[in-house]
Amino acid sequence: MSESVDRFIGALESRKYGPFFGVPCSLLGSLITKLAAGQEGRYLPVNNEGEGVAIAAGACLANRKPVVLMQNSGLGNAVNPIASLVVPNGLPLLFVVSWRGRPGVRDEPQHQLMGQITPSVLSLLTIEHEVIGGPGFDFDAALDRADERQRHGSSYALIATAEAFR
Amino acid sequence: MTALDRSEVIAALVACAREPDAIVATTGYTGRALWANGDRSGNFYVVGSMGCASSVALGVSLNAPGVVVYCLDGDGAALMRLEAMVSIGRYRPPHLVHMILDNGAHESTGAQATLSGGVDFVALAHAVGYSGAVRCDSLVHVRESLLSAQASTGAHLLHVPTKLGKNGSLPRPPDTLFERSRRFSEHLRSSQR
Repeated sequence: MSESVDRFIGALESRKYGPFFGVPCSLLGSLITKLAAGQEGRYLPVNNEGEGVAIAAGACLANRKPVVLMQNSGLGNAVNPIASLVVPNGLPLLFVVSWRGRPGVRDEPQHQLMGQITPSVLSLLTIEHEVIGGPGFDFDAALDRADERQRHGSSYALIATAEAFR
Repeated sequence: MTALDRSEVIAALVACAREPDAIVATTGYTGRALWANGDRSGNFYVVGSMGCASSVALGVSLNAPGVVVYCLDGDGAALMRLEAMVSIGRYRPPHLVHMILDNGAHESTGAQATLSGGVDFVALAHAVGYSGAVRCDSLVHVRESLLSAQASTGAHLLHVPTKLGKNGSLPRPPDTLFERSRRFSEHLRSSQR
């Protein structure tokens, strides 16, 4: 198991993030496996990304700090509840979005367009975001930035590269 | 068999619900009819994001086990995100009552037909693991079924055929989503103390 997974989960739990809702991606595989191995109810698989956002919105209304994990190809599925539910109601969610099709990185053709536009889609949805991953990446600092945004009722997205949880 | 009037069904729900129970209503006339019936801090109106109300209710129930969560859903909304019922059945929320008001139409946008005509929501709910599911064809049956669902934990479905038409004009909740979501969160926070 990758040490970055343990460091990231530790940083999340020390800030009381959870529960976690997700649709898997190979880039998030080790993270999701570890989350799912935790106590019952910590990680709940959902049928699609939009549904995950909507259940997370309910958890957020019930005063939790939910996290939604997804492959960036599923961002499109989540656009409706993000634009019409999460943002207008000021519900602060944390998103972990994998970055398939990252420009400059060889990947399959179906990931190329969404890979190019992933940061822009998040920006258009008014969700601040940053890229995470790489040797010794400081997850605590990233989550401090997320917490700061969340205090203002805004969501935050972490875009996970192929190196993030390898 | 005469289909029921939506406002009467909503009034029956509001009369049955107790503080600090939560009511999560879908978009369109349903949420507006709930609002018209009397606003309260335990109401959450999912304006927009059609189909998401039952998932929001699931997220609330899983994290606010001290309250009964009612979801006022519509046939078109339920069908738009049918996967939501699978998760409700699977995750067995502490106490969730999912009411599908089925008028066979997207009435709020001009009564265009939905595909609910051939859908047996009760069978569907049983198939995906709800604790109970019942079709209600009279107001008396709606009240009885609500009381029965209230008395038993888990996820319950009430499929309520309703007729088209609204009584007079339905007011719209004001554009203060942020304030209402904070109010609902505070309602849930105090209910868990």
